[in-house]
Amino acid sequence: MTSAVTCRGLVYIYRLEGYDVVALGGVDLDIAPGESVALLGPSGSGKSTLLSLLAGLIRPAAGRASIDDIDLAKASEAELARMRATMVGVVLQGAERNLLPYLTAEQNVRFAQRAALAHGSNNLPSPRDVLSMVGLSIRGKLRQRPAQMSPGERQRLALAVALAHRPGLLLVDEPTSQLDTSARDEIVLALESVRRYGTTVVVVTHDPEVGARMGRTVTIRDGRVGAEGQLGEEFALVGRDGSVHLPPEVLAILPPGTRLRVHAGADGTVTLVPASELSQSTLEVA
Amino acid sequence: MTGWSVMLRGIRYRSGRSLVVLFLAAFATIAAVLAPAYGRAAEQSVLTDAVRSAPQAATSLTISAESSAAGAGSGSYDPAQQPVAEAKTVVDDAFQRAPHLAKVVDRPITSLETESQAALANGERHIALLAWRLGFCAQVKVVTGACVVDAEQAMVSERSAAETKLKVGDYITARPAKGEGAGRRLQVVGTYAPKDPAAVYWGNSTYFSHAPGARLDAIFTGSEEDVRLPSATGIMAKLTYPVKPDEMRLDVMPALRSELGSLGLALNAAELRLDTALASIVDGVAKDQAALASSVPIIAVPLLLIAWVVLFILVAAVTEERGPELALARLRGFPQARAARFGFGETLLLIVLGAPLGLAAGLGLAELTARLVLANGTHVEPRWPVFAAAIAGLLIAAAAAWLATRRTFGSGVLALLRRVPQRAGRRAGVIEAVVVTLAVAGGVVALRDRQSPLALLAPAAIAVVAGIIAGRVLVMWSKMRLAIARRRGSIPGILAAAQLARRPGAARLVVVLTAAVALASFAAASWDVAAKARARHAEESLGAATVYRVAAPHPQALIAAVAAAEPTGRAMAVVRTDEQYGQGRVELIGVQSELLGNVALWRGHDGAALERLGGQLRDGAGKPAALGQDILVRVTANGLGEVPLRLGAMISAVGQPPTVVWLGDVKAGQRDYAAPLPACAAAGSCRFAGLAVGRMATLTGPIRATLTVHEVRSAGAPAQVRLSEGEVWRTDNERNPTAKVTVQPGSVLNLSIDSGGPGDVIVSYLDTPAKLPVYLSGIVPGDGDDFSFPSFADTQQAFTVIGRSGTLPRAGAHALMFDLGLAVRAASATAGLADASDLRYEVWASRDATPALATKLADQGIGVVGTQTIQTEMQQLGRRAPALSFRLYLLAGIAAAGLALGVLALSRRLGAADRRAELASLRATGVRTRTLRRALRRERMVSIVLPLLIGLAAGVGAAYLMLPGVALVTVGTATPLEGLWPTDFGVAALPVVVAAAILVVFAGLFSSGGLLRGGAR
Repeated sequence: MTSAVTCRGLVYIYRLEGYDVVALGGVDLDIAPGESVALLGPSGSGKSTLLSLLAGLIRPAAGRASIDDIDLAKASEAELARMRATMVGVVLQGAERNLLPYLTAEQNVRFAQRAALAHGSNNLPSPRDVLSMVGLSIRGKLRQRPAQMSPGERQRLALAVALAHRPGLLLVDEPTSQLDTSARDEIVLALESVRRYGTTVVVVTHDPEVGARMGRTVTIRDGRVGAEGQLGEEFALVGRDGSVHLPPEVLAILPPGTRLRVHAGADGTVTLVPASELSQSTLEVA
Repeated sequence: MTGWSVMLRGIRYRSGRSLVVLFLAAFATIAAVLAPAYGRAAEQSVLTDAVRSAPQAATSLTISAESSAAGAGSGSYDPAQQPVAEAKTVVDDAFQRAPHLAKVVDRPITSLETESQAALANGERHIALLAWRLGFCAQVKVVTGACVVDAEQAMVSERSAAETKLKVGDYITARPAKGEGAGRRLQVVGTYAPKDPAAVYWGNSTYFSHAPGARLDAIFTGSEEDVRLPSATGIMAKLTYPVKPDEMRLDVMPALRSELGSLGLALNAAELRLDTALASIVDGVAKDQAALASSVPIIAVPLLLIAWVVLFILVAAVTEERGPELALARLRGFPQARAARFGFGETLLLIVLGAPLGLAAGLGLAELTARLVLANGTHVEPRWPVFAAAIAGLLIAAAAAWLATRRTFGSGVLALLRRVPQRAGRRAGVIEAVVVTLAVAGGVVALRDRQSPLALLAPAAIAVVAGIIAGRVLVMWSKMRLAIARRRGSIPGILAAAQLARRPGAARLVVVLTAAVALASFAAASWDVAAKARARHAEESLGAATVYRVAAPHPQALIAAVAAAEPTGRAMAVVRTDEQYGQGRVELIGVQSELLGNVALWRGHDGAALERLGGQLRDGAGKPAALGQDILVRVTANGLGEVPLRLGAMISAVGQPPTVVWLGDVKAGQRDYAAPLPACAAAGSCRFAGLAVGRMATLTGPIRATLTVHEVRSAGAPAQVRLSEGEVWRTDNERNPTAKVTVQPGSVLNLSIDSGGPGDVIVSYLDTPAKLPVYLSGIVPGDGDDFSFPSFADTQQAFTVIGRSGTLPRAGAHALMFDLGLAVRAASATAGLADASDLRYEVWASRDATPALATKLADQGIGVVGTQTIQTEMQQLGRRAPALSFRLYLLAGIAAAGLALGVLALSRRLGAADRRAELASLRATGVRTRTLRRALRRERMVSIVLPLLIGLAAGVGAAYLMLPGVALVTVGTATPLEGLWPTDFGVAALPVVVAAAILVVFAGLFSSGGLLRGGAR
């Protein structure tokens, strides 16, 4: 099963100490079914907020977000719960937060599957198959509780729990934080395995190596999509409103507030010329 | 894997918290169940106590028939003249229609008795009760000879046989004591001594009232027919059905009352009379039972509320802790209902499991309390109200727990995952305002009517308000201390104040602890005050350290017996009766005033004051005009009429009505008129009661004479007859309304007599003051301080008030107290008190009287039918309604305080890991251990001492406010509180509560170090 994600002008505002804070200021994003996307960006840029919106945990203040044909702004709580039980799997940051500490690995997977069963889903994979997907198929591991596992195993178990109902979309928040290199590699391998099954995967991460292993990277800056990357190369994106997020090194040359003349060349290049200076800070864009 | 297995695994994972929720649920059920279980047991106890403590004669069903003059003449049906078995058949038949009554009574004791005159072979005649009792032989020890088994056989008591020199084989002739009937010859076949004169078998009859020279113990016959002396009236046939106190159950009371009424009517139809005080005894305890029924549930309310509030707080805390798990369930897409089941299921299961545990524990606790405190044999009865209360407790606990989870369940997934809990905000303040308003309003209503059971809610209301105030004070004080500590740069102060100011949990716990301590201290203070009130009431109602209720033939016999049994003067005879006056009754109590100072206990009167009072009661008493074996009256007679007259002396023998002994025909001039008085040979057995002038034989015509009495002598010495006081000589116009006698006292007494009526002229002599001094409580039953009122005899007695008091010992607030000797002398001038069946006889003994007094009284012929001491009185008061309610309040208060302290300890334990982490991180930043220890101690001091101080103050203040006007000892009677407040630190409930509070403070302080062990690790 695989799902598509569509966001158009997605806005999310929250209130903090009496002030409205715009966490997402108009996100446009399309993720094709089966695609693997890493959401990158500095802390506070809105990555986790976007993930929470896509999981149906919060409602957008404006704009549209949909997973397949489910409009996340208009769906009821029951529909969102059903979506999370059947179509979307979520992995929270910190493996322990995804697991019930008093259940074994197998029981945690079964617990997650109970939600899907409650919504009438049949044909769920066996917990053993789910765990083998993430490399936890050893017999002894099935009966271990989370506290008895290594950090990497716990994170993989958290992945397995989110995959228990064979979702079309997997949302993962910082899967490799607080893990050492080998554990991180285990997680990346697990994610690749999930991808091979055709599940659409969206991962929020600070780790550029993890991002590089995903098919596509989307950089979120100041609540908007600032750039995208593919096969290791990053590109600035022209937004629907024509705005372009300049990379940080360019911003150092053309700080915010700089007035520019934009010259489009015949060869497809675009030159940005600051209005106060003539040639020193001319920027050509091809 | 099912939802049940997840639930059970979760419970096991959180075993500590789960156990606490289980315990709290059980506790709430215990509190709910305790009210109906304890209440019913207490009501039963009050009933059982009342029936057990009442005299057996009062509770027994006595069915009797007394032979009438017509019946004695065999002219009409007389059940007393028929075999007793016939009457028993009638009664058995009536009991068939009264099954509840039949169940509570024991087998009957049948008897037949009549007052007789036993004539011996040597011509002596003695008064004695002639009796037949079924089962007599088993109740006596045969001293000589054999027990009576057949007709015309008799047994006399060993001591009566010794006095009269009767032996086995002798014959006596029993004749009616009144009337001139023929006698019945009975052979003495043995002598007896009763195994236990005070046994229930003997009832209240005066069988063993041997008085030397006056009366023998009862003579028992082998056949009931022997008692039916020819032409005897006053034959009493009795069937006495003793009541079995343990069979008197609450359930059957209504049916019992109804059956008593119908049984009486049925027996009346068969010429039988039913006498019993059972109905009035049962009605008497109805007030206590009603008070218990209304107060016990109300007392349980604060305990229930605290249990539910604590459960609410704990479930809210546990649910908040499980926030991430709930978030997980919602994240996985569980439907709302399933997510709620996942979140609430563990708690609900524990509450449901706690209910039967609480039910069993509540019943067990009520049973334990019943065995320790209530009347013997009282047990808890698990009836439907108990189970209904358990179910109600369970439902309300579940509701409280559900409400506790609402906030957490209503939070979003991300909010549940947040680590820092949101503040409660304004909503908590609104709830507090509503609760305080309701509590204040409820308290005011309750204070207006302190006799109402709702008044018991006022302390709970005060406790709630005190708790809320304490919570607010804590936060305000902490914020203030935080600001001060910041200015001073005091790190311990900052740390301590910040903890208390910013954590809502601390304030909630302070609210609960303060309310619980307020309840406990109110309960303890009330218990102490009520216990003192009971002790005071016991002394006042008893009148002496020990009071023996006795059976005596007449007051003089009692006085003589007491003097013989306790010659040191540490016991005194007391005779009581009561008379109707207006809408109520006046208690009359005659005491040996010369012993009042030694024996009586009377609040506000010490021994010296009582001696003075006793002297005042005897004021004006002259010596009794005692007579010996003869009497001589020297009289000069003049002015005689035509009708020959004779002169007589009125002689009052102990226990007998005054009789006239004729001294001789009146002749003109001075003569000595004398006669022997063989019945007065025993010293002090007779007194001079007046003079009589009558016509000789069958003559008629007016009585005229002028008599000058020079002297009255007896046994060769002048009798103490006051000729010079006119007031002590009175014409008895009841016997002869036409008699006119002019009395001129002086060195000789001149009597001018003129009577036209048929009767003799009697001039009574009073060897008592004309007006008996009396101490009064209540209003004067008459006009002014001098009034007339019936005394021990049926005739009016003149009294003069010498003092007043609010209550008289053992006589209450509407009573007259006078000297017993004087009252008996006055009454016996006109009546024989042996016939006065309305007199109640008691012996009051001081603390240092001989412990064997009961036995010694029995040796003197005075049977003890009941004994009360201050201790037993206090025990009985402790089992009556107000005390039982206060006891439950004390238990509830202690339980509430224990619960609150347990919650405090638990919250510390549950939060210990987090606190350790906080402290460790502070140590890692360089804060010294000593500083942290000081901060912890300050924090603990404030969070414990503040609620303890406010709670204690609120509880004791509530007691000062509430107790005046509340019935502390008996239902419906407010008790004045002067001198009842605890003023010392003896062993009492309030000092124990204070000591426990101090211990808690120290324990809290010293346990704070545990959090700092292990270093920054």
